[in-house]
Amino acid sequence: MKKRFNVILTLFLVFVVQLTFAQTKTVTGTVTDDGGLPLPGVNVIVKGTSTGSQTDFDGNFAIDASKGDVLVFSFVGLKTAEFTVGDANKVSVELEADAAQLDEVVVTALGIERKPRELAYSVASVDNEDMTETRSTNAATAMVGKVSGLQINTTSNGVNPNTRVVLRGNRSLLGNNQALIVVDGYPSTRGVLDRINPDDIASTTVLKGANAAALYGSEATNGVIIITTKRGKGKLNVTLTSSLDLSDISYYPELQDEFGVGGFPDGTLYPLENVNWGPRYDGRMVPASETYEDGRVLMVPFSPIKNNHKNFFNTGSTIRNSVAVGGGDDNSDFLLSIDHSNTEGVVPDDQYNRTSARFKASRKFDKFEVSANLSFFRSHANTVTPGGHQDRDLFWYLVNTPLHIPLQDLKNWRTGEFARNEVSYYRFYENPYFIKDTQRRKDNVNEFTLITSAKYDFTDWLSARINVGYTGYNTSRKDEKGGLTYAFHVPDPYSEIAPFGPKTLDDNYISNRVNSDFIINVNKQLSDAFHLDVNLGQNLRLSESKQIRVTGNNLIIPDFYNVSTRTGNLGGFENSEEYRKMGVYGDFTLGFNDFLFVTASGRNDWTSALDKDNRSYFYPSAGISFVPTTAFEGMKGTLRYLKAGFSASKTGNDPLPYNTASTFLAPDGRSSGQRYGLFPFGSTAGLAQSSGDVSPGLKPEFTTSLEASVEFAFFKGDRLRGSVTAYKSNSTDQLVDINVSQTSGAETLYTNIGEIENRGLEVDLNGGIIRTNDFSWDLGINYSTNDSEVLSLLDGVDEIEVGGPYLDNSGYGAAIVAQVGQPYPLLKATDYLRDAQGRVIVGADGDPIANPNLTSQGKTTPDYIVGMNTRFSYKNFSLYAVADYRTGHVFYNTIVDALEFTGLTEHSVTSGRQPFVYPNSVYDDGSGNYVANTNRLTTGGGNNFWDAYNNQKANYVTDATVVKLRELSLGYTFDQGLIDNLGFQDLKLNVYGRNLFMWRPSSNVYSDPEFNYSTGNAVGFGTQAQTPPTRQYGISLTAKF
Amino acid sequence: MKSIKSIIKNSIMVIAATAITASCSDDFFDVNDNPNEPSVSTPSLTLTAAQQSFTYLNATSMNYLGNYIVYNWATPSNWSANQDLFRYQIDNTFYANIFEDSYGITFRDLAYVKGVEDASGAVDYSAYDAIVETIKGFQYQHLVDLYGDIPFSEASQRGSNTTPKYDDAETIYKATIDSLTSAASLALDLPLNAENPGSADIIFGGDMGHWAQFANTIKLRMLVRLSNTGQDAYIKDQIALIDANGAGYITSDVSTNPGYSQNLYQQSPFYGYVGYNEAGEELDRHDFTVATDYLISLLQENNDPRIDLLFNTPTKGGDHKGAPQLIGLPGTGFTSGDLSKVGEGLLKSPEQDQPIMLLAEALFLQAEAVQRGYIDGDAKDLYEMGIAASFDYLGAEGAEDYYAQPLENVSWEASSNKIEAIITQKWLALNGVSGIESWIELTRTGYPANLPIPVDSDGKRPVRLLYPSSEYSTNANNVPAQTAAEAFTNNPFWK
Repeated sequence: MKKRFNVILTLFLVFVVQLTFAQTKTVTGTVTDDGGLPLPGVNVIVKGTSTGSQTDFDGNFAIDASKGDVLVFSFVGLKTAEFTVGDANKVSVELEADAAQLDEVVVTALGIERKPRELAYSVASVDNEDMTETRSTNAATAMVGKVSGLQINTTSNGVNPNTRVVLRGNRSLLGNNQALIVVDGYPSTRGVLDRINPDDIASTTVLKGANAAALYGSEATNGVIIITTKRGKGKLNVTLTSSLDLSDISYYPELQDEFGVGGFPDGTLYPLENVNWGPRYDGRMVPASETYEDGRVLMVPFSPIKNNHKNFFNTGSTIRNSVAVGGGDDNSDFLLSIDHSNTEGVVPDDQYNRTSARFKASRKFDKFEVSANLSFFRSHANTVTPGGHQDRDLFWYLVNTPLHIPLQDLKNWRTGEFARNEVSYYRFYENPYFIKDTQRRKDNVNEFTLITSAKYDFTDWLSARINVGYTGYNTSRKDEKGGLTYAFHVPDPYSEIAPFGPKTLDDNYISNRVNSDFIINVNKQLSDAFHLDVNLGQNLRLSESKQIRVTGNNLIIPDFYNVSTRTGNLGGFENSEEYRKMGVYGDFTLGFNDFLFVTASGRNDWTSALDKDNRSYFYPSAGISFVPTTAFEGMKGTLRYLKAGFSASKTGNDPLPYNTASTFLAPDGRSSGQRYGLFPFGSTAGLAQSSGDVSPGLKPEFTTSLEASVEFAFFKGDRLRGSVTAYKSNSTDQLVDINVSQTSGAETLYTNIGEIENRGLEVDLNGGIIRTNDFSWDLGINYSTNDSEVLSLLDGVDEIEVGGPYLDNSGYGAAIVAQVGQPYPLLKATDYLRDAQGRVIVGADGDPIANPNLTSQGKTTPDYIVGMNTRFSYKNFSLYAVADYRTGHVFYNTIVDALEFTGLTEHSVTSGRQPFVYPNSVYDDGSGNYVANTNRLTTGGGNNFWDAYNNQKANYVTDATVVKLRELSLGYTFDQGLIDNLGFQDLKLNVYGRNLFMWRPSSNVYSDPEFNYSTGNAVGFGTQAQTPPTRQYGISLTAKF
Repeated sequence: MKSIKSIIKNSIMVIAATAITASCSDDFFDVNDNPNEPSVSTPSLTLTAAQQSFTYLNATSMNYLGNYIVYNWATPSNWSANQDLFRYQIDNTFYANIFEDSYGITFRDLAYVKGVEDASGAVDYSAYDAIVETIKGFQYQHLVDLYGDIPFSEASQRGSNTTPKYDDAETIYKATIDSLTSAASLALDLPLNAENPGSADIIFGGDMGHWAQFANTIKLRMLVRLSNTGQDAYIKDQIALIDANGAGYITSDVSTNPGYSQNLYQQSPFYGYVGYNEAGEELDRHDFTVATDYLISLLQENNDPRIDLLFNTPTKGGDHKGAPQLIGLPGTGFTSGDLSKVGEGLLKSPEQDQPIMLLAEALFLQAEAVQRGYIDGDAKDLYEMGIAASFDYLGAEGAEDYYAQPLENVSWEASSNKIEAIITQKWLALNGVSGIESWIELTRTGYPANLPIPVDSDGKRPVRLLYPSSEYSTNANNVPAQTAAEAFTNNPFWK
């Protein structure tokens, strides 16, 4: 078969790919390893061309070549073999184990490729297959459980989940703790990990500690996740993937279903109440709406409807299609990929769609190489947003619907006979369907990134490279929140929500970032024994952003949302930011006989965010690594590879811009500390001093970390590989807004304080446990522990508040703090008084006594995390699973406050709403001793008692231990023979599920302990803003041809 | 090929050169001036902000808390609110904003205004200083009354002193009395080049004579507060200083108005807190703040026409009705529609002036001072003028007929205990306006007598608030330790 390709790409680069064609024939054969087992997935190419193929599951291949052509066989971990085509058409090739096993390069900082043996620190990686197995569109969630020391939290689910990615614990009290994301050598923002198309990722390297990342500068203090996107390879190929996911609510909070609406006093039926302190459900007919003038009223049985709240939610779906076209040879390659997905949420009417497109190409000339990577991302989300007359989350409205009210019959709040707002059951809080229909938020995101890189080889040991990247990012948000009006009023309503007007909000945010690195590299074998690798570079970072928001309330035209039709003042603000940084750095590696390596690096930064005197700061690092298995002949046996490494590093970090002087602001009437009014009042202006003061002479903060690691591989074929790493990092001079006494006139002081220490151990084990002809089983286990401690803060300051969703409201009762001598972050909450053994103290009336101070409840990040990923293959089938286990932490989900208020908590009915002996309690016998309480009953078991119980938030802090089956996938790869007839190179069918099961301690009846009210450092607070946990399951088909 | 090589070589050199030159310019990094918030202000701009925050705190949180403790208001059965007020659940998060916002917002801005000086000496800011000292006097008095020992001499230095020490209560009182004396004198005797705040002063519009009167009145209030401490000689000496400056006491209500309007966050503070929102709709708080049964019966027994201005009749119809302060109110007959809510005498309009100190209060203070022999005057006359001023403020009529009735604590002659009558009438006059002052006076005098205590509490009325938890976590070495019981047992120093 003669084929001729002429592919022309019109870009800044024009090149032509041609195939040589002469007298070709089809050469077939089998490739095996040195044990005689067939090797699937071996790359077979005709040297000097882009003709290529791969061996199939049985190790067989077929390729077009002419006599005299050289076939090159390559496979990861094995020595590349070459074979010259002769007269025979069938060949048999055996690939030997590569003596330099585990010498495939890993991509390290700045895209510099290194062999793992040269590195003094540990590096982990996740390959493309593992990232895309269960078709998650969010790359962050696809990394869970696969790398030790990496903690990824999905802080809120919903159609576009938020994630928090932290390596080796929190180092910074109030600053950023999330890992730096680098794509093809270009430092990107944290959100890029959620947006990038996982199918575009060839491999992901995780540099866990500052040691690995000193070359990136400040942001790398928190570790780096390096993403390398795929390059086009081989002859022109097209890959199509389609998938369909469905998602369901997996766990809804547990509610009591014994007592129904009413109260005042407890046990009295008030059919239109929203709280459940009334009588027991007994099935009698009760009104479930107001009564019309003519006497019509909706009557329903007074008994709970099963899954009344859960049935509000839908089965969501995601449909995703992607196409990737690529090709390449030794000198050039290109890749074009487009991915589109559309998600309908479990919350009815929530919708999210996103599109990513990427084009990358590179071309290598004699001494010069150039490449470019353009990517574009856009998304649109339309979701329900907090609203109503008290601006509450959707969950609140569900909880305020009692279990006997037929929620499914109340969808038509506009005109339904008993569902319309004028007469419906909803007298105190709005109908959840009304909220879902009228309180909407639309978000659009556009991101365009261009990464270019050029490299020139002066000689075979001296080269220079320049990487320049640019990202333009903008978001635009519009809130359309409808109002509540009544067409009429029934005579004598039980109660009525006051009508309110519609409002709208528009917010636009634009940012531009440029990052450039210019690096000179010297890579020279100095003598037989010594090898030198030096990188010297200069980095420039420029960024600017602007945000503008306008709001208007009480709009005059219904369903028309523009601030021009508002009543009252135009609200909003305008914010801009500019930042510049420059760094120069050097990295030096001296290798001795390929088994001993000494590395050192240093970097100096100049930043615009600090004053002139403190603007420049320097930080070095050094390390050593030793490979005994190469150093000592005869050491290798069952132990095939051993490497020990030790490194120490220091990284500096600068503050955010505009933090070097305190300022004044016109109070806006709504922010904390400014609620006393919105200035200007007409023509009367006012400027209040900012509540934050700044310490003069701010310095950068520094993190010093030490790391020791051992990597090993056992058995032929490196069937068992692993690493053990221990680290200790100390972060000092933290740039923190510490809370100071408000009697000073400042609420916070931005200053350098404190020291936090993190210590931990990480163990990774990966094994090919079974390898036979038909069946194989691979298992990976990773275990990580992290101990954090606040060593010091400031003289006289023992504790600082880090955050909490209601921190503005000082009466709230729970907060995340950093306290000297304690792990960080720590949850503190109000509690009852307890004796030395932790038993609750009750008073003479039998009621527990409140403790006036907040008490510590425990840390909110896990003591240890164990992750497991495993793959079984049998002939064409493969089964893949990922699970993880986290424990040693606590959390507080504030949805329980809504449940307690409405009388829906299970614990409120354990004594049948009657007075009871508070479990595990004691009382003072008068002499200062505490005796076990077996007879003093509480003053009540209803509304009054549980309302007071609700003030002690410690009652709701639960163990956050959780085991999750994160991913499960069953794949079937179609036989080569079968699909060849169809013209496909590869066809794979997958059935998969994500977040299928979650096992929690019995005390956690509320939600997923990973949820958090924000992605910030105050971890451990779930709120009513998150949708209940969901599970996804789906099917996908991938075709390559 | 050769030309490409040299192009590349040249490009690399250009890039290297640019890189190096970019590092040399210091101006390159000079982009850290905040474009979103100015780093400078003027005394007039910040004085206005301080006066508004001071007014707001007094009109909302302090006023609301006080009204509940002196048993003016309750909460209906269909609302879950104010339980902490009925349980007297005083801990160190309870109304912590009274302490925190006084220092953290108002004193902060006042300290800035006081500290501004014109380096060239061309402009003098003494007028501002006099105003600052007067407002500080007013607020520090309340803080000492509510908290006892508090930071004073080391306060408001921002980053320079983040852990101010706590000073003795009585020392602060006396120091404040002295600074009010000098503030009044300064206000009346300003340097020629003193800048007058003009319309930036949203309380008196730059009328310094009124400021002197206000300073004198606050000072009188502080002196009368010392009535139980056996320091009558000191009190009389200080009164002599008041008389010496000749400004006298206030002759009309002291109130703030920067230009309140019916806009979000711009309404008159009390109106926007307990009344109606910017769309004219009833606020939740208006629905859950209702009259107590005790107050309604008292007003009815005394035929007090102010009842219709202090409260609206219930929306479901019928005569005025109040409820006891009780968490477990019955669901029928005690919903918000069945009870009297805060009325139009107090909630006049979103643009209304926000009173800080009523003329009625000043008159009752003078009546008591005369009665105790501190100042000369006609106690009965001042008493009756006080009642009339209250009627006037609320828009009620018939003050003379009211205090002509021969009832205890209504008519001067018929009242066996004149001090009790003065304080009881003051409690009625301050209803809904200066609740915190009524509570403090109740602690000092025990009047009005027989005020009920909510059943859900432990039976004792609180006499102070506790230091906020923020102080314990940020100023632990200075803030005194307290137990929860102290809120009920540790009386202010002047008791």
